[in-house]
Amino acid sequence: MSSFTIGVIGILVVLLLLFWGFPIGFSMALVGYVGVWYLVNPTAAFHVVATEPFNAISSYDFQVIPLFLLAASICLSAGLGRSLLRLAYNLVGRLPGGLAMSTIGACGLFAAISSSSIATAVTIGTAAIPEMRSYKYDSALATGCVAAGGTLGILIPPSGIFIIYGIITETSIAELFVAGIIPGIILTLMFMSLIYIRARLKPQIGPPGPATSLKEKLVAFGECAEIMLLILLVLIGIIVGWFTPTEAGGIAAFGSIVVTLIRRRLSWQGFKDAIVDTVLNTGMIFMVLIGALIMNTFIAMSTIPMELAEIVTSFGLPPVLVVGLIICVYLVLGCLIDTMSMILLTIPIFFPVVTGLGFDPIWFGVIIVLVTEIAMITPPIGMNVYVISGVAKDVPMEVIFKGILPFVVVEIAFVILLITFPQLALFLPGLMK
Amino acid sequence: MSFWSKLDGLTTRVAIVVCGASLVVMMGAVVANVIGRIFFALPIYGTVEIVSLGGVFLISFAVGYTERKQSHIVIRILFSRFPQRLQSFFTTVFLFLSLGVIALLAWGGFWIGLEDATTPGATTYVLHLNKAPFRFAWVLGCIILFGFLFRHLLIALNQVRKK
Repeated sequence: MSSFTIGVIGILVVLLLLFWGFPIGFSMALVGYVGVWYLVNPTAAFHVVATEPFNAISSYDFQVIPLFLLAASICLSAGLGRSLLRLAYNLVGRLPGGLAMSTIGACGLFAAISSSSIATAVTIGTAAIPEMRSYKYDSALATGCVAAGGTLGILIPPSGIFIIYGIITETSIAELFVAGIIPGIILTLMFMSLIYIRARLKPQIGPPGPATSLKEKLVAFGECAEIMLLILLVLIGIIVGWFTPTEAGGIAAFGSIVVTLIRRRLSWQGFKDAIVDTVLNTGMIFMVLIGALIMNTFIAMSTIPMELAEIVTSFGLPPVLVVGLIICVYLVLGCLIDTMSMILLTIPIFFPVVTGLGFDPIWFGVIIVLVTEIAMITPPIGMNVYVISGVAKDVPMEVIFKGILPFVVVEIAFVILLITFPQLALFLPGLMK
Repeated sequence: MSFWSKLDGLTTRVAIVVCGASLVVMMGAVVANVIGRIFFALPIYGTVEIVSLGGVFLISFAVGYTERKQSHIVIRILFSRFPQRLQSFFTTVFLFLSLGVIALLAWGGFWIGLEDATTPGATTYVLHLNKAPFRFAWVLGCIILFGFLFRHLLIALNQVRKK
């Protein structure tokens, strides 16, 4: 059997184990170990499991993940999501669908401090969904906009997916973060426009809220002023090179503690909860990362990435079509596998193909994050949908999926826009060079 | 309270304290370094290594705590459709396999740690700290994870027997 065939069998076994309910990190580690054993020898396999986990956990770049998780958990504990929602509501709440638009806006703002889509959806959803329902908003719109808005958490920097993509492809995380800003803003505006148009056409799905005075607007802004400054500091700091992404994570965590302490919103219990939450999520993410690194060693040894790149090149397909096919693979896989595992399992295979065709790795990173966003809201895995169904327990899952559908269409349209105009993602990173 | 319950509670508390302390140290080192570098042109020597090694303690103990809360990522799309009995069977088999994987990781880590402990010059680049204690911290984390997995295996076996 050729190395390529063994690699393909390994990937299929991982998928099989995943669907049977074997924890993702453990299954990738097991298959990676057995694969290297088979392809090389037991000593090499043992060396991989002895060294790769420590390399992962002692990587300076990887430490950005727990630091940003801590920042988001502190904000979550201190209820900052509610303040951001109030600010967004004061700005656009009086428009048709205003509360849903404010929810998207608040998600966009919270995304700038959180690296996780789920954290964004939970934080904003907990405050926004009851509010929207009290204003008689359509349940599908109310839950759908939170689930879709939550996905902004992984596009607007800091983003957990950008960090992982950057590390496994050796692409600059800072440039990836910066590349996500313009697409993040455009997608936020596209989501808001979608809600506005739908609410104009069908006013009963999102009635406008009462107008707010300038004083109310200023008070709402004052409540969030420090956290907005912190968000700006983190983003500008990364863009102008004051600090690395890991340092930005530390600044964000420390800044969120200071801000919430000044505001007297962080109790000792809240701090402890934030630590516990961070530890739990760190363990969850790193077990998958460790398994993926072992698996990726096996995939690299199986020569799948190189051979696949050669096969694709030999077909002579137009590069855009190849990217389109890869996106289709992600859309299908995203319906079945957890997003982080999908990225870790597939990027080592597809990245050489895409860069070999001459595409920019930063641009491809943004495309991958967008496709991942879609995966997070498509059935049956769509993690954000499950999170939202936990917040709005009486709303059936199919209603949430129905509410999400228009947002998925917008996201797909935006992916096409980004393929047509790569500069939307590459303009800001270009300024850093 | 049984000995095992006490051990479980103690291990969980220790894991959280170690992880929390590591997070605070990592965050503190980063902030002090950035402030020192930008405002006083005095970066803290070895910050990158302090943060990386803090991460070793944080992650080593976090993976065990995550298992304690049974929060490692699992896809239940097919699994949840299996009959209850089959689910229990698969859970037991996968816990066995997971124990094997973690034993392997721990053994590998221990072996490399031992090599670092006995090899002169197996230190970090900047602070010249011996890597062995950090390798053993990872091994300890794996042992804690193994312990929680083993506990869950016993519970799963018990459930299978009852059915």
